[in-house]
Amino acid sequence: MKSRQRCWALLPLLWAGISVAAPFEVLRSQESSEHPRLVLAPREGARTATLVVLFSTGRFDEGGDTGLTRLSQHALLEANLRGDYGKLTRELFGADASLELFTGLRQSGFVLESNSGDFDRLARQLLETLLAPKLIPSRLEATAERTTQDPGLTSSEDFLETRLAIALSDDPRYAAAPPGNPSSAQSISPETVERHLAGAFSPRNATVIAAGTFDAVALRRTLARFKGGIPSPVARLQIQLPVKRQLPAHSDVNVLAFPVKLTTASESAALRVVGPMLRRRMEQRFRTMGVGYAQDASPLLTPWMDALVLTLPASDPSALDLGPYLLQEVAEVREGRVTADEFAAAQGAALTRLRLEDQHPRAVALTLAGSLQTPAWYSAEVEHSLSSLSPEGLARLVEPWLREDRLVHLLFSPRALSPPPRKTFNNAGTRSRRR
Amino acid sequence: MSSLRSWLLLCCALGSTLALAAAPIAPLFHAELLQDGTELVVLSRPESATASLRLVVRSGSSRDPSGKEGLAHLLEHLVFQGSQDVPGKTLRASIDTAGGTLNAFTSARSTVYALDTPGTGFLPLARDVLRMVTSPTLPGGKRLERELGIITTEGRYHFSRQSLASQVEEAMFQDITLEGALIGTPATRARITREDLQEYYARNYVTSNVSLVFTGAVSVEQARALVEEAYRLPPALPEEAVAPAMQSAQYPVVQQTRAHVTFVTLGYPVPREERATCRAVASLLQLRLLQQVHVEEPIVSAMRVLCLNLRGNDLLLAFAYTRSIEGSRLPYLMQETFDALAKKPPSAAERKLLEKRGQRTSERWREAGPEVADAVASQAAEPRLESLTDLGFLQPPPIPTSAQLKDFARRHFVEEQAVRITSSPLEG
Repeated sequence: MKSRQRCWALLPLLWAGISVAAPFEVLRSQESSEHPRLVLAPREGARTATLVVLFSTGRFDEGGDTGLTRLSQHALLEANLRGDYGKLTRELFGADASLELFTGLRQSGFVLESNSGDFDRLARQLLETLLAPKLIPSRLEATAERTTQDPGLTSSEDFLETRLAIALSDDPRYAAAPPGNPSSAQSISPETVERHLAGAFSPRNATVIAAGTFDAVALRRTLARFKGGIPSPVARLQIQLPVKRQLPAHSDVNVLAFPVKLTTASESAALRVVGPMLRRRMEQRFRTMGVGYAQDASPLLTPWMDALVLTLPASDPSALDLGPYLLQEVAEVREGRVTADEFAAAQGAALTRLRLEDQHPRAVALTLAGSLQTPAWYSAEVEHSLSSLSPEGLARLVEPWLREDRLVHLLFSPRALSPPPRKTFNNAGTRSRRR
Repeated sequence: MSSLRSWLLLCCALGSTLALAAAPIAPLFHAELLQDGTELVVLSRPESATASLRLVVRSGSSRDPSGKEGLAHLLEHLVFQGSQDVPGKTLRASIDTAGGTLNAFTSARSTVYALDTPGTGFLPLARDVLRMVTSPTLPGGKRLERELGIITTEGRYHFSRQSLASQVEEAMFQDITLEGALIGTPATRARITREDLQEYYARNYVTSNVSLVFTGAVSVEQARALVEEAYRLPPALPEEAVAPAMQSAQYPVVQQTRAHVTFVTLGYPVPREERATCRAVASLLQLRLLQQVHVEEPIVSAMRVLCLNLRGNDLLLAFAYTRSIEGSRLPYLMQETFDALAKKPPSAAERKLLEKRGQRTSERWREAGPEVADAVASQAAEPRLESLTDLGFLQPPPIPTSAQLKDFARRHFVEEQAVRITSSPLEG
């Protein structure tokens, strides 16, 4: 009788394991330290699934060979004995699936999105190609040619990350630019690519993320076959704050970044609320002034730093610096001068968006890829913390983040292109030109 | 006539529902012309997490008065200021709080207002959006000035580059800088008065010039009830109908210009009634071009073949972009692929890929999310004479037989009808 009871008690657990995954469920595992890390977000019933194969390497690691990361990524697909690029292209076409490459500063990867009916086959094919490459040097020339055809290698987020990195670190590797012209990738030797593939792109530096409807057992089995390589971990940047820079640009853009350290679900919840709150304030304030358009306040999570970033692409007709107005809004939120309605609106928006996001495999996979160093960013606990967050709790959590002595302020401005002659005051209090 | 069309679409949808009874997603496609002349299109999928509304006005910047370019776009901004009973700021805040988005887009030929929200909160928000767009206050004075300031900012940050679409339109219809005309210049915008805006609104925001597209977690009955309750445009009289922005293209269209990179547009006009075949042919051409100029010869990475409508002209167009020094060969390689179509029928493997792709694309549309709302809105924005929006693209196109393909290519891929637009560092 007792054992029968135990059996009945176990049934729900077994059922839970084989049936519908819970919302926000994220399963993290690693066969051994030499294997790729695996992050699974099963969402039964989703029409699609998304696979992200992420490598902890980016432009930072190119050692002067501009374009090496991107070329290596193309080589993995197109100049690799383990895969047939033509076949993969046709299969992606037939499945109405997409395969995208992204090449960041400190991480790069591949994003496969397909109907769940095609996903397991395409995912296996892609993983077998990427995780045990065997370079075909004779195909590298054509691969370099394709690499140079990539229309846009940087997103606005990547641009922002790079500008912040340059402002915060003297390490020249943070200033590594995307390949600016076709010849940069074409001058890289096959040996360099081969070395890069064996090191930075080895299985132990990979993380495989899957979200949606897929066969988790098969994915685990496939992944268990690949291991090895030299670890290349990404260290968090030690930052000296505050920082203020004026940078040349064609139009004025104020960027305020507040570095944050997210270790708990409550902190993640607070960051999710404070973004929409500030975004709405910016819209109201700068729309009222008749200068605002496409303002934003949102988290920027990177392998080397996490931050809340406010961007204000606007310039006042009378050349008034809008930065102080932006800081006024930040100060009000920092000091808890937020109405109950304002808080409820931001909390409601954040909660609804989180719940909607969880139903979209691509959004979940990309969020998990973006927050690899910050697992607290996405979990069921975050939803709970978000629901139970109070205005006082928010104020307590954001106060240390939003202090002005922790601010990174970048002002992109045409005025920085050709600075006017600087004027100083001499001892007599009259202006004089500095020679 | 319109109710017959509505029934046909409904039957078509039911047919697909029955055929895919086991599939988890099977929305109801519905299109009808309401009594006041407004078109209502609904792609209902009750279990969807989101719902969307697109209010499509088939007028855009091409109807701006001369010397007052930027008017249609300014009007779109001012509509967001709200109506007497729906303050725009409050509505935007409510939508944001509900986790939704409200946006609008003005193009040369249309103005589209777009609402996406979670399914649960959709109906009251859609009601207010309908009210706001169909009875806006259109302020003057300081509020008008402020919006002009915002557009100046928008122009500085978001209208710096010419799009490929406008380049094609300019080549086909000999327009002058469509893109610049869309937002206007500070001088042309400064000439716009509140009366101009009201007049444009009265002339173009009329029922027979509007389509309402609902997708996702909203039923046909709910959509009809929303329109009944909140849609405030008065029924248009026949003489108030807006003439469709149709314009005949003079073929062949050949343009060669100088640019830093190579853009090639190649294609031919195809009659409207052959749209389904056009889509299948476009898919086959895309597959072959992908193989030829991307896999076999690494010339191109961004390339699409589409069936689209430009000012009432149905066209099959292939677009390709390259920075390769081999780019000068691209127009010839693309032409070869078009020419080979009649001689080389799709192989069994190609046919299988095309059928599967068609099926998968159709499944994607059946999710009835914001993506399909945009696609339907784009079709609804096409200038038309009488018919309803063509929803044929929601179904997988039948793959033509070898004989059909040969006949299609012979009839349409003719030199006198060609569209060949090339920008390259070697031209000019």
